[in-house]
Amino acid sequence: MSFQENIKQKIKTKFQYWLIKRVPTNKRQVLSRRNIFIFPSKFGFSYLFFVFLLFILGTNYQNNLIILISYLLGSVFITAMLQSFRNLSKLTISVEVNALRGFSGASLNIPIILDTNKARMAYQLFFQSTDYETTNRVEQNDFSSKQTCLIPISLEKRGVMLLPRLVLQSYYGLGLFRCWTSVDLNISVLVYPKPERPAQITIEQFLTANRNSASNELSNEVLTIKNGADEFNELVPYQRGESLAKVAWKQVARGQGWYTKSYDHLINNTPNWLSLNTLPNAPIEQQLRWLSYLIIELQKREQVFGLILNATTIEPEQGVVHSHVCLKEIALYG
Amino acid sequence: MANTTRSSLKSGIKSLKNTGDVKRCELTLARNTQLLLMITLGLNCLTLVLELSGWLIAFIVISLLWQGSIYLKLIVQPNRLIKLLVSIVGLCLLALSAKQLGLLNSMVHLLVFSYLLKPLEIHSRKDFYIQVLLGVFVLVTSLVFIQSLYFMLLILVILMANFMLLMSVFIQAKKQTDLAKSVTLTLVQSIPLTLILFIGFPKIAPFWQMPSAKNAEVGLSDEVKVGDIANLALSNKLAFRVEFEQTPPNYQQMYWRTLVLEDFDGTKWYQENSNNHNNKYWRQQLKRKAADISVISGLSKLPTVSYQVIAEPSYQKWLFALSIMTEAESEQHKINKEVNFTLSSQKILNSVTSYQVTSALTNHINVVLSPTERARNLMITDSNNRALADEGERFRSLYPDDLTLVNAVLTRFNQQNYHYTLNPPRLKDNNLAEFYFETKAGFCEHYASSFTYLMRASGIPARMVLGYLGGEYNERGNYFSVYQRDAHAWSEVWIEGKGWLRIDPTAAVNPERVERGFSLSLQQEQSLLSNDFFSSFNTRLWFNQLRYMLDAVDYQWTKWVVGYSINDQINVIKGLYLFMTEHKQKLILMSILLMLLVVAFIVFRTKANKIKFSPEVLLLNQLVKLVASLSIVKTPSMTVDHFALQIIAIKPETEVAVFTFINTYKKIQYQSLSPEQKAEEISRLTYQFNHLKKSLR
Repeated sequence: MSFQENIKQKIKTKFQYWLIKRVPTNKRQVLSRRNIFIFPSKFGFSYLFFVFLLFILGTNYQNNLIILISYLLGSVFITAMLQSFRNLSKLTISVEVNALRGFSGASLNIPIILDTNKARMAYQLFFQSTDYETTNRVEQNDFSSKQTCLIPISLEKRGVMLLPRLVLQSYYGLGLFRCWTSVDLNISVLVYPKPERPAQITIEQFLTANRNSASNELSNEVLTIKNGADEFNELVPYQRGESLAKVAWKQVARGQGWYTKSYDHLINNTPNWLSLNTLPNAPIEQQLRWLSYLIIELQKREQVFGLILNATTIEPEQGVVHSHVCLKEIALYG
Repeated sequence: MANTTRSSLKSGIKSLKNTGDVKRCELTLARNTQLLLMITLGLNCLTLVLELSGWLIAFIVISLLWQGSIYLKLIVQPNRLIKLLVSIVGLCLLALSAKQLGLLNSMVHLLVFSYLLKPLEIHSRKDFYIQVLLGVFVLVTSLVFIQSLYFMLLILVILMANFMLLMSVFIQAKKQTDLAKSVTLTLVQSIPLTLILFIGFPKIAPFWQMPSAKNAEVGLSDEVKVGDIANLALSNKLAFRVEFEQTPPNYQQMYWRTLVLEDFDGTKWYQENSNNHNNKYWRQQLKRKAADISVISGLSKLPTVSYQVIAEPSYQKWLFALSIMTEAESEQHKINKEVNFTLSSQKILNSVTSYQVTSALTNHINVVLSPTERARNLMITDSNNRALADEGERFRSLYPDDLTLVNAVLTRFNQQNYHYTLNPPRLKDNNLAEFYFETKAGFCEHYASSFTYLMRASGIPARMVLGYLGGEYNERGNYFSVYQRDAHAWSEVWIEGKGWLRIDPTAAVNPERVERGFSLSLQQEQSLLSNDFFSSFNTRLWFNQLRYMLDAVDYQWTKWVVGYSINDQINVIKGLYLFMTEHKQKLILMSILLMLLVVAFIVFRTKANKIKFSPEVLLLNQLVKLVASLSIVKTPSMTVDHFALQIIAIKPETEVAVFTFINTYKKIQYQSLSPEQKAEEISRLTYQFNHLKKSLR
């Protein structure tokens, strides 16, 4: 048994290597002979057996018409193969966003863009994993133009999650063949620790405690920085017609989308410092989950906060972008 | 990047597993599919309706109504108990009727029954697939019983419906016509390969014996009483078709000799089996089954004719041939040459059977008569026909010569008031004497059997022969069709020096019947008596023309598709090969031309593709390549503005150059310009591009 498993495992690894070579990682994949695989489905094999049965029946009765029907059904098998190949061929799969993020334990929709100029039938999309039979798949039918599919995945462990190969398959063409492709679109998801409310402290307590112990110099420092002419505190989604001079080019260049810098808020909140030391003693993962919760809550309340993790310090600031920077830090901690 | 967790997805997926499973467990078919399921169920069963017993047909109707009500949401799916009850009742009925149905029909019943029950048990895709395959199997099984062209066309149409059912799961098309279209496309695309396989794939001999269809016997039977053939003559069913290799013989010569009956028990003629006979001499003679052609003298001088007979299934063994058959062979069945120079098949003819015969055309078989044979062919039982036996003795006393005696009897038939009719008055106890002396009206078997009896009574060995006479010539197909109504009976008398001489007493009464077929009055009689609406004796010309045409099509179908054999296969392939070698040069030339065309087409296409790009697009592409080194990628979905902004984001100092270039580009692309303006703008664009190139460095 274990020997068999071993061999199975080896074959699988070999196949994975071969697959990596055959269908290399790319953000955009055009399906062709190179990356489409096709194999009879279970029903396909039963169908073939059935055709063979008919052939035997026809031969035994010396009945040419039954033989003729069996040939016809056999030819339909071949036609179905070509049909299901054509159903996938020249389809473009791509992913536009590369900064995907979410909280551990939640589910996240991965937007996959399928581009085509002709009708495609009955395809299923899912991310391949070792036991992909149980994967939650997106079943969609019949489309004939560009469309975006959202594939839900559930996020587990904090950190950077590289998504496995995306499988697009279709049984179209009478269900005789499974025609599929397995592409690596190089999608990574930044998984933040799951926000968890620390039982010992409420957010209100935390805020007041911080306010009392906050050092004046620090807050002053923050204020001066805030008043600097070059600094902006928030990125607002770009709207058509806005001045190009205000566009946050750095973000655009990174492919994070179009934002305009907004300068006009003056922050006069007392900064709150988040650090592992201020939290009650607990395993590090637990503490990170608490931190995640606190960051979200502070952001909701539009508080100014900074983050101190062992070596890194993030200066106090406010806003969505800032909270994401902090969350990224705790996601990648350790 | 410490926490790279590819595997973390696995556990995440597990949590979602349950919902996914629930979804897959309960397969709910779309309404479209449900409707198709019912339609195909009805159609598939319909093809077998002639073979099914009444109770199963009732089951089919009930099942359809049931599913129809479920479809219309009048009732819900039945529960387990009802399903179990229905299946038990069905199986009991099947077991009860199995014996009388025979093996094949019982299996067909079982198949249809399971096909009917399966729709109640469709829980997953797998069940659905099984249902579809069962349906196709039911459909194809019907071809065991019927093989006509029109039936095959019907089967193909129903097969299409089955594929539509299968495809309806994959296409959520709103209209059935869309489904039909794509299925038709699939089937049409499959035809070339099907034909290649049918023509070329070697035909294989049967692997094992299959239970054969138990059908009512059709046509002549090996026992004949007066009145039997007159009944058969009312049937317009096809018996067999014949295609001659040479010029066909005259109508009067087309006596299709099928059965020789040598024994008479006072009412019926029959052929004694060796099993139930005590006389050891006869048993000895009957043992010698195979005919020995060499005993016939003068055979080599006779003109021969070769022909192919394609016999319809008769569910009997005997075959048809002109007298005297010398060679006969078939690929489907082994053919026996009987001792009386008739043909029979080793197995019952339950499908279309074709065989090749060579006959020496003659009206007598010159063989020596052994004493036992002579005794057998002289035996009469006079209990029933005393008067006729006396008549025979009277004739003998008048005419000592055998041939003169025969002619005297025929003259009596001709000159006295004898009638040839399909509707003779009933004879008491099949009394031949009553016919001969009193009623004087009868069909061929009346004349043949009373003539044979009379001959035996007067001491001339004589026997009854059954077969068919003539045939209908089809000009379009150059073949003869012989129908059941052409069934005929005549006599053979043994004359010293001539052997068994064919004497047809019918010719003396109604010469037209022997020369051309049914006379007009006989045709009217036949049309009146047979309740066949499409009687082939319809006198309208256009109707006959149409009938001939359809029959010719059916003949070609039967010959080339239903009867396509290994020999045909070899001949067709040989023919193709010969054709290829004969037209070698032409074919080579054609293939070269074809290849050139393909090459030209490819070249043309690539050129066309190149021309498609206008200069401004080419310039833009150059720019795209140029900035690729700055790791700016222009995806096809990205607009040029977007692209420009990307360049500016990386190299802000090129802003002006980029914007001027892009603006000119857009102007050329999207504004309607005259050709001169366009040329001007393009030269400007080229200049701007060069400028941009410099500034990018």
